Parts: sequence; C-alpha cells; structure tokens
Amino acid sequence: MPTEHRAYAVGAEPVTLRIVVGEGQMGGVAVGVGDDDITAQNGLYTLGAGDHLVGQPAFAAVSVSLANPASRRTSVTYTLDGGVNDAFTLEQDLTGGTGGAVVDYRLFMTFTSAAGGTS
Amino acid sequence: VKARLRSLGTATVAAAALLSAAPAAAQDADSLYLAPMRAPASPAFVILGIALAAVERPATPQAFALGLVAAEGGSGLLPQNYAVEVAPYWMGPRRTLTWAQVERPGVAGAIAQSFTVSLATATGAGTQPEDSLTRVGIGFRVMPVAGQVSPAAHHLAAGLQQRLDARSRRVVQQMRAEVAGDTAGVAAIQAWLLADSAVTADLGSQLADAMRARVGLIVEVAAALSAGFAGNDFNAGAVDGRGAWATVTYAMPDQPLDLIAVARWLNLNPVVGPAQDALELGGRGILRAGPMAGSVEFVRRQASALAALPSDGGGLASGNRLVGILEYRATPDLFVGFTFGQDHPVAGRDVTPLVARLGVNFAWGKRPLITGAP
Repeated sequence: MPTEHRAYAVGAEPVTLRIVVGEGQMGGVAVGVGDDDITAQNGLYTLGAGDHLVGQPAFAAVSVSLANPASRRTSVTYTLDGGVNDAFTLEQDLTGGTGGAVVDYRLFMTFTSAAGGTS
Repeated sequence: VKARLRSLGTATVAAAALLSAAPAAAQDADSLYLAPMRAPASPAFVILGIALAAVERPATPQAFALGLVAAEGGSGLLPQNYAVEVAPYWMGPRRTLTWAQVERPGVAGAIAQSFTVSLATATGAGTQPEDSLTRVGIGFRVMPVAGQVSPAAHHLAAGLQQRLDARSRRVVQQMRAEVAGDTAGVAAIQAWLLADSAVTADLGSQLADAMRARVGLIVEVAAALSAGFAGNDFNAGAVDGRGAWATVTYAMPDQPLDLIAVARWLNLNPVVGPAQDALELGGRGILRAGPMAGSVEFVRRQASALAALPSDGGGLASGNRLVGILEYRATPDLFVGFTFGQDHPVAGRDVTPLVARLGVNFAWGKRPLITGAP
C-alpha cells in the first residue's frame, strides 16, 4: 500500500486537510489525530489548532476501489492548510489494476512548531 | 476494385482484439493492461463498411483500443483491417475527477469523457497490383447525453462505499498500531484487510461492470471521413467517403432492453464510379440476458440516383438492411458476436446481399495487476 510520511510546520491557526480521490474512482476516507477520529465537514477535515497538534501523530487512510470502468488509474491528493507555510499538496497514484481492485493509500503526518519544537 | 471492397463489407469473418494501455510515458511494460471487451464499432470502421453492426450501441471509452478484422477473401492468416480508437481524456491523469463526476458528468463532462478519435485501414487485394485498394478512415464520436447510472449500480455503489469507509478506518487503526509498536495489532489488522480485499474487490468489480451500462436516454454523435488509395499509390489518394450520424438510445432502467435509433448521412465518392449521397434511418433492439445479448437491427437506406451505372455494377441502391446479432461474453477475456441477415441492396445487381459475420474479441498477455509501491 502506498505510504507517505510528511512533517508540517504549524503555528496556532487551525490546520485543515482536504482529500480528493481522483480518476473518477470510489474511495473511503478516514482521518485521525492521536486516538481521535476526525470527521469531515463539506469534505474538509479540521485537525485542530496547530499548537495542539505538535507532538501528536496524525493519520489519513484512503481505500480506493477501481470502480470506474474507463480508467485503470487511482490517485489521491492531500492538501494541508493552516500552517506557517503555504498549503502543500501531496499526490499519490498508481496505474494498472483489475476492475474493483482495492488500493490503500496512507499518509502519516507529524507537526512541527514554527517556534522550533517537533512532534 | 469496388467488388473487392464490397466483399469486405458483406460476408466477413471478423477477429477483433482489444488491447488497452495507459500512455507509454506513464508506465512500464508490466503495467500494460487489457481493456474490457467491446465490439469494434468505431466510426472509422463504420465509414469503411466493416463494422459488425450498422447501429452502434454506446460503450464506455477506453484510453486506447486496437481492433483487428480479418475479412473473408483476404490472403494469409493475419487480419488486413485495423482500427485504433483513442479517448484523449483518459490518456492522462485526472486527479481532480471525482466519482460523483463520473456518475453524473453533466453535458460538458460527458462530452469530455466520451470523446474518442478512431483511425482504421481496410485493404482489398486485387488479382493485379493495380486492382488493389487501401482505404483509410478517421472518425470521432462523442456522447453529450450520457444517461444515468443504473439502479443496480447505485445499489452496488452504496454497498461499496460502506465497505471502503470501514476499510479506511481499519487502515487508520493499523497506522496507530504501527506508531505504537504494536506488532500483534498490526498483524491482526493486516489479516482483516487481506480477508476484506477479496470481498471488496469483487464488489468493486461488479460495480465497474454495472457502470459500463448506463440507462435512460443516451445520445451519441459521430462523424467520419475515408480516403482511398487505388493501386496502393499514395499520389492516387482521394477522399472517397464522408459520413455523420447520431444514435439515440433508451436503455430501460428496470428491463434488460435497449432501444437504439440511428440517423446517418453518407456521401460516397469512390475512386471508381459516380458519387452518391445516402440517408439511412434505422433502429436496433437489444435484449440482454446475463452474458448474452440478442438484437435485431433494421436500417432503411435512401440513396440518390446514379447518373450512370458503373461498368462493374455496384453503387448504392435504396433498400433495407435487416440483420440479427447475437453476442456472448464467454469469459472476461473472450467476447463472441455473430451477425446474420440481409444487407442493403447494390445497384445493378439482382441479388439480396448476405451478411454473415462472426466477430471474436479476445484479450491476451499479462493479467492486469497493480503496479507501483507495495
């Protein structure tokens, strides 16, 4: 399963995560911070205030099924926003697969303090 | 020459294979995959008169497809007629295209997603080199009205969404266990994911199949152009055919029945013989039963009068085409179609042309597989 690890510098502002399952495929999404599960509102996951995220691991998992008969690609785009730098986008994708095949995409996030602390 | 070409369009044994691949730049040889079965009914084949059916039914486009047709009377074992069909939209990544936009694409989305360009060649070998003729066709088609997802697909999609949501939650649990160093927990969840994969993939496969057959009103527009090269002489090439047509399909949501109407305009200007226009109106009813589909196709042709009959007879005559078509998807990799009936009459000939075509679509090579990071 495709796995990425990303560190993100945060301040006090709320940090949000937007996830897009591309290629017209169907996907299930789960996001967690520490032991807490985060639910989306209008497709946007609010992970919490930046200074509270430092020191906590955060997780995003996307299970994608190749249900679009016109494509054999899967892709997931993550956009983290609210940190001290501009939003960044991470893309993961795979090509090829049988109809219906399931791919689990994983993103491990850690947060560093803009003041210099780390998770 | 004309008689030879006409033989391509009548009693034909067709062996059609579809090979589909993502763009070469985006993959290596291991990630080649095979497209789902589909009859070689691209507009380029239609304008050359070698398609299995005169009334095409709508189909899910593929990024790249190759069709081969071996015609009766051809020399050697290899097919002499080839077509490629490309759907530009699906050749590159579509990272922002969501499932909802595939389910309900709207007119603009349907046009973009369904636009295909096809190229085909048909070769008629004569007894003398100067009698041979190669024809090249180019065509496009687009589906501005794409119908709806079937109720069965809606049901499958709801079930699959639940499974994928549950699976992604398990994956997050596994990620937590990894961070915590809980190897037993990781292994337990991994076992659950493995067991779930087969069930979820099967459901996804059923959904992908169900998504291929949209229901309701479907409108497809196509056009094509052909050129003939007498004696296989490049300098002798000339445009010898143009056509434009629209097909309107109503696929019943709760019944395995599709009704298709076609209106087609043709302008033929053969290398040998006079130019003619023809208007074709017809329809096709398709009854689906599991992997089988039976259909009846009727097309009425009204051809413009010939100023003078060509010396070898031929030319378009007004009249009807009535054929029956049986299609069977024997396995996911093998599709067989059989067409039988009477073709449009030919000017100057007192016979009713026969259509008897066997079409086989088959896939070969590696089984499709996921590539990339483990």
